[in-house]
Amino acid sequence: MRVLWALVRGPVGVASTAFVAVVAALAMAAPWVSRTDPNQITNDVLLAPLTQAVLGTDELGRDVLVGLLYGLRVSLLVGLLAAAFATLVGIAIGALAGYFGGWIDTALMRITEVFQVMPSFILAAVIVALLGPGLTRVVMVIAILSWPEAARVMRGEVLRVKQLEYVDAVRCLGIGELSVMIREVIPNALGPVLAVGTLIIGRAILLEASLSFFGLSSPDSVSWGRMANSGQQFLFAAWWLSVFPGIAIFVTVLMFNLFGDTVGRALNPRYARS
Amino acid sequence: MAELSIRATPGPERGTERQPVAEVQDLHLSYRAGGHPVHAVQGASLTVFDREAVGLVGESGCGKSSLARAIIGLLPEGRTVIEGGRLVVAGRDVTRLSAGEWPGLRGSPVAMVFQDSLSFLNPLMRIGAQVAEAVVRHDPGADPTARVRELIDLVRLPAVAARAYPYELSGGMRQRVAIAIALGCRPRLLVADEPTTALDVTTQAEILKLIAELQASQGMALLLISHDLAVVRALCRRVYVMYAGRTVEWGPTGAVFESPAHPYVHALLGAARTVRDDHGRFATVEGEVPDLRHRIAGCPFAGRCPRALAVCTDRMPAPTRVAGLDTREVRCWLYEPDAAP
Amino acid sequence: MRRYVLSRAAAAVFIIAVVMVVNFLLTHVVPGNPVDALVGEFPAPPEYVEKVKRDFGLDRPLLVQLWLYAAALAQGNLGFSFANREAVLPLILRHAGNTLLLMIPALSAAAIGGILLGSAAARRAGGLYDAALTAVTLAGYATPVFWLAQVLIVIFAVTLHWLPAQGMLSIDQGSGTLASVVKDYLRHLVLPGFAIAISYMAVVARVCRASLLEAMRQDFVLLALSKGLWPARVFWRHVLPNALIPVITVIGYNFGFALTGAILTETVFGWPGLGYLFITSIAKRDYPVLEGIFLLASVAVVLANLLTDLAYAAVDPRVRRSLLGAAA
Repeated sequence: MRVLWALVRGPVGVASTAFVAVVAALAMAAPWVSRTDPNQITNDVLLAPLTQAVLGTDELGRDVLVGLLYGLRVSLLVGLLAAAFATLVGIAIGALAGYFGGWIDTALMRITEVFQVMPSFILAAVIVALLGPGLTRVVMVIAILSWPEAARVMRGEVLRVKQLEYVDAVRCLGIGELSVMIREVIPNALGPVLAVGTLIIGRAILLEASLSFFGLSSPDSVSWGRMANSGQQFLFAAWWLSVFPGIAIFVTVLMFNLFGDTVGRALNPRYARS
Repeated sequence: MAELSIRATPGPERGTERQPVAEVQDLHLSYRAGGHPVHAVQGASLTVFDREAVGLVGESGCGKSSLARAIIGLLPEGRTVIEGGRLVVAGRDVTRLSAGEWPGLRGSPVAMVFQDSLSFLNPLMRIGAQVAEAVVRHDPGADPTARVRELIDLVRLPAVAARAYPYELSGGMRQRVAIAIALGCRPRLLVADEPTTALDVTTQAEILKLIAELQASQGMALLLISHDLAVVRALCRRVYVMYAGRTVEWGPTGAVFESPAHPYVHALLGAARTVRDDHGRFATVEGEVPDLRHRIAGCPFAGRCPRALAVCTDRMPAPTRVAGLDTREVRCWLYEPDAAP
Repeated sequence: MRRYVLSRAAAAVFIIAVVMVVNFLLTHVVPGNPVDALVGEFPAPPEYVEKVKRDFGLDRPLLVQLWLYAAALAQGNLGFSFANREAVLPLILRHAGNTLLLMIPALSAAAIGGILLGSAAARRAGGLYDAALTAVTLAGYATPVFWLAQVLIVIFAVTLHWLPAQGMLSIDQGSGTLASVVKDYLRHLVLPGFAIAISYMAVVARVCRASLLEAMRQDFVLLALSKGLWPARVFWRHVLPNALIPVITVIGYNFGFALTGAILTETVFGWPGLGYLFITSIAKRDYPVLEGIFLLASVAVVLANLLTDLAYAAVDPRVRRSLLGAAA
């Protein structure tokens, strides 16, 4: 497909697409890539990087590099699932609001505004604190907080597409409004929304990292945020415990954001991030 | 155009020694756009004397706007190259004028009115303030408030318009504002680039009438650029016709439009006449406009000309007089006495 | 203009009301019983628990409870924090003050710095400086702010010993002069302020640059030049005011994002503000405080948005025309 070709045009496109592909593969293949259990407690406590362990070990002798690998699974899982849900909800709401207009539009947009106003981290933290931690909960919370952006973009695109003449042409055939919306308008409005969806992945990963940094994510899984948090007390003595997880978060989110830009450009040559 | 009953304004007296307020001599200019340079003007000449109304007509893309911008020094900076020819404004050679020196010449002696004033007015400033800027710049002795009121009145706008923002006015009113701003500069030459193209027919007539009256009463020269022949015919004593970056024929408006010499002008007028309800908008002339990314050695119309000669594709002729008058000239091999058939 | 102000204010009130309802619903989502949510899991005297049950009508229908809850809020009763032995509202407000002491200088510097950087980038469009700005902005979107805070501490406090690593004031400042207290405060402000400011500044600079370039290409610049105005005047009087409009909106509408950043940064730096209160309350399961902070933060964002709407309308006369329901 020409879309796939567009993805690998330009250095940014190549780099980010390659990164995403590699990272996805690593995440799925983690147990085969590294035989070590990330939670394995050893006696090699607080080793500096490039000694025995490539990125060092923490206060319980756990290998940092292996921890990063397993943390990758959690981050990607949460990021992708949350973004997927958020995008689906956003598409539904944005399409309904944009297509039918009127009071439906106003009502839905007011709801969207409410969700956008509430500070995401705080609300997420409060919900998780009240309900208790757990990966599914985290995914749902992040999804709920991220859909407004997708909804807005979708609504904008639907508004644009429904003006196009061929939509009227299809209507003339006597097809019901809902059908027209689903079969004609939505597919053509999807481009920018999918691009925003990939950007949401980055945001979701950051939000999950922030939550786990404060101990609000799932306590049994390895998570970059949690690693960074445990490293907090060792800032003075063992800087690598905080710095490397942070770098992992940073690079991953950056690459996903760039991938999002690339997807946006691939799906619509006019689209350029401002 | 039946409704337009404006008489062309009288020009300066014949026979007096007069200095042109603006003179373009064989100008060549191009824009750098991406990889290819676009040769917008490939040999245009025109002269405007004090207090006379001159028209410049041609299709879209023929270079007339570029010529207008050249006279006021508003060509895109850094991307434009003046490759040849001379530009003289108010007796001063401005061909190689630096960017820092142009502001001294803009407004006065040359002011400009643009096509669509909504985008040409600052949306955040009230009308009165925008007119006042011109006054303060060019009329240091005057009381700005009084003068602004005077100018607004001169263009037949109500006094309250001064407090309005651009978006609150109609297209016609905004063009009046543009004219007021230009007048505030006390120009010797007013260049109007398609001033009425964006307006509806009735408003067009009003604005043109206003321009004509002001030109006479303020004693300005007018260079009216348009693709609308009827408009130019109504207001201008002399006209220049441009095609593909060159001026190809010029002379008294009536004469040129009644009996055009150049085949292109002839085809143009023929096309215009076949469209009855429209007022002189160009219909089609056979063939296509040449690609301005390449310099054309010969006459650019040669490919479409029903009377083209062999020499036409080789080189462009020098201007020749038509019917023995030194006020009418054309660049066409058909009129060159020693051109081979 | 007045109609615009009223309609935006009404929308703000509506949103705050909805947020209140969301907050209310949160307390009823707790798996235990709502009492825990209202009181927290900190051991509380049974009489207080009974009082809460009565005041909030926990045995009454949901709508009645909502009404009682709203009434309590209106009186400023956000509950009592046993962990801190203080009523929630004054507790939060006190910490909010410290957060403002961090945010206001940081965001002001970020906004001004962003505008200056963006202007400089617009002048040198396409050059190395411009590319660097784009890179920094992209990085800013991807950086977890708590990690940036940690890195800053490691570099500047631990390794270089230039600046303090924790807190707002040094412990021994009790009896210092005003000048020395202020100096101490400023020294503590630098690192956390920078952590918050950097990505905000990058966004502002990016938008400023883009909108300046856009404004410089507008037609009204041509007309202004054609009047014979000097380029400097055209820039300050015509280009910049038009360019600042999107900048104002981006500064204002990103307040929520900045607030979240401040809260996260505070925890890493131990700055005694809302973030610090938030995190310690999570650890102590002090739910009323958490809900109170959520409510306050949301209201702050709504107010910031409202102020931005008004500022936008004040600057751009075209906006005042489009009154109701245009915001979407």
